Amino acid sequence: MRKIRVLVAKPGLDGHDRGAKIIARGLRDAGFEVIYTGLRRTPAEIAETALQEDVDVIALSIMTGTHLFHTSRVIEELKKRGVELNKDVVIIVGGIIPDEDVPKLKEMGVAGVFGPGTFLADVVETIKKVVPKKGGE
Amino acid sequence: MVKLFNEGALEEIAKSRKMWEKVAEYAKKAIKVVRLKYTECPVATPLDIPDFDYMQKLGLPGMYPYTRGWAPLPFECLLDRQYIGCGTPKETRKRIEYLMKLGRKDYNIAFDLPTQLGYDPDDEMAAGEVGRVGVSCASILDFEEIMEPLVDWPEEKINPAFTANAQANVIFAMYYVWAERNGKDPKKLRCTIQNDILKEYVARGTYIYPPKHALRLTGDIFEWILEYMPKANFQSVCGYHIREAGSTAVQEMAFMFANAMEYARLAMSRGIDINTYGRRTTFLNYSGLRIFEEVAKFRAGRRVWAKIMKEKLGATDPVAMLMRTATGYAASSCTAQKPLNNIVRNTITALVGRLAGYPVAVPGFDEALGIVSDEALEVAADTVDIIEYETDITETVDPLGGSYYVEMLTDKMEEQIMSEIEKIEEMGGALKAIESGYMQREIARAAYERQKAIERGEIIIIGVNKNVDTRPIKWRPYMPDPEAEKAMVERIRKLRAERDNLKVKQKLEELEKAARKEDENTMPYVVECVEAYATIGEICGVFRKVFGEYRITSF
Repeated sequence: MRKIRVLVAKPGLDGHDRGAKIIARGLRDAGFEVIYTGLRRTPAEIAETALQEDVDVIALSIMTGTHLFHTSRVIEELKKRGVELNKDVVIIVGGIIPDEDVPKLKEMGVAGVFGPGTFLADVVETIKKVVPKKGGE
Repeated sequence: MVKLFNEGALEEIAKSRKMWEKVAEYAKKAIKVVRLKYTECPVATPLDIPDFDYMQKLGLPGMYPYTRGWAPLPFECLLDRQYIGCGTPKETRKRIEYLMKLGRKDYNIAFDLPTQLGYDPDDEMAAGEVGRVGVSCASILDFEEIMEPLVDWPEEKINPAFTANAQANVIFAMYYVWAERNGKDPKKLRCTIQNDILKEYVARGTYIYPPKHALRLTGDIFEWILEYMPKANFQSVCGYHIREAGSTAVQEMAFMFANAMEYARLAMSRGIDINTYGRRTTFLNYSGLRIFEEVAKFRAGRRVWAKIMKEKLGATDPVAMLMRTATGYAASSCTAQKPLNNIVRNTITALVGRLAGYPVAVPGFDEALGIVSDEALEVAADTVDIIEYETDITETVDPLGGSYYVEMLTDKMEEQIMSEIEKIEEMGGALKAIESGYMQREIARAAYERQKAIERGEIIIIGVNKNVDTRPIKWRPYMPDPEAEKAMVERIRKLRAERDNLKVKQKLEELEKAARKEDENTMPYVVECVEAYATIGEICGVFRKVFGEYRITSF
């Protein structure tokens, strides 16, 4: 069986990647294939990498309060490339996210939102739950 | 060598300790022993430091090797320097004026991410980020507005700080040009600009160019400071961000000192005396919640740095050997869950900093929820003052000195820090250790191990894996002005339309030529660009073109 492929991505200009790197390592240890974009990737670059690498999951890490802005731009760029959200790929978002923004992200189609203090096991469980539900597989 | 404990005393204590072991074994049946699994030393005695030589290990405060403190007496430790910066320069200026009315004298300017990374507000890369985590400062016009509250001050009272690293050269130049345009003598002005680019690659992530080119710019700044702004500090070398990125306490100190050694050698390669370098350099550190380990870390740090400066780098001026740092901050120990609990955590970390003999500041209790609110800022400032004024902590230097336990931990820390520094020296120094990814990898590994230990319940965090409250968090952190970006985009477009663009082009071309020559100091050219109203994006754009950009994708 094909391993679940995850792109861990840091959109925007923020350089705090402790969380992103922990998630990347944790998901790799959970048996996923993980690619990390490195810092400061544009939404277009993230969407393009996701497409090229044929990933199942894009995990966005955003700490600066710009989660709504950057997430919507990544979704837009995916659309432009004909990638369908929750069919071809799912997006999860982690970072400093106020409770009231969680429904807004879910409305955009985000499959999981993870704040400070998140356990790796919860992220892994969410991914295992949502990926098989994607239409394509 | 004069040992503190004589053989006879040690023998007596050893006998007694054997008895104690039996008593302890018996007591285990009767009392609930606290987390003994994690305790390496349930009681410390002189047997843990049998060869202790007071003069060699400690001496007196303000004297080599400075273990007990870099100053001979308890000194006033108020960090009267608010970290501030929000939205537009105008908004920030108002905030500074407000703080000044409350009696604050100095401030440390936080720039937004586009400014920190050398992008103009209308750059595609800046979209959504302008004025969010700090003030937007794209040209000398913005800088002048931020500095406006200080414009009538006499030179000797002016002493701001700026958190600038990758673009520290542009901010130094702006400060210089501001002085000249406002009738100040730059030679009399003080300031501290963080200017620690190596830790950006290691931990904080706000780098632009490849490390070796960035280091050249740091060298240019050092040289230029001595000639043009001799009262300014060279830099503040940060262990703080290294720890926040997830390092251990030992790595925090070792990587910080390794970076400082790289800078010291850079300064010397530019003909700068090691004593001058040492006098102009300060540090910045994290204080954790493990009280004794942290105090030991600072005490060991002072000893390590004094030894490195004296024995390895050849400093002769005692002031150049001092590890002068500020601490108290431990933002990553703050939880989003039950945010009021962070007031308690911040009290402990501030206490740690003061026990270690350093000035402290603490984060807002809502640190993990967003940008700090006014209410949390006030509690943070008062936390420090309560410790300073209501306790007796300021009445003696190094109150934990002489504790068998703390001395044992201090020795252990020193050994581990030194051995990590040696490892990096063997790799060829900090630059090599960063280029090979060593420091980044080791920190990521430590951060991951810590996360797993939290998930296994070996490290306990109240509200996260113990005493968990699942109710939603009711707290609204400070929200930056969403209109700031639009205002800044308009402002920079107006500037570009009104300035002498021919002159800007000429100055940028001259800068490019200088950047391409390895032995040319780029700073005077950066100053001329700033004077001609070139923007931060244009100036950093020149260096981007010449040096390229750096990218790290390993984890």
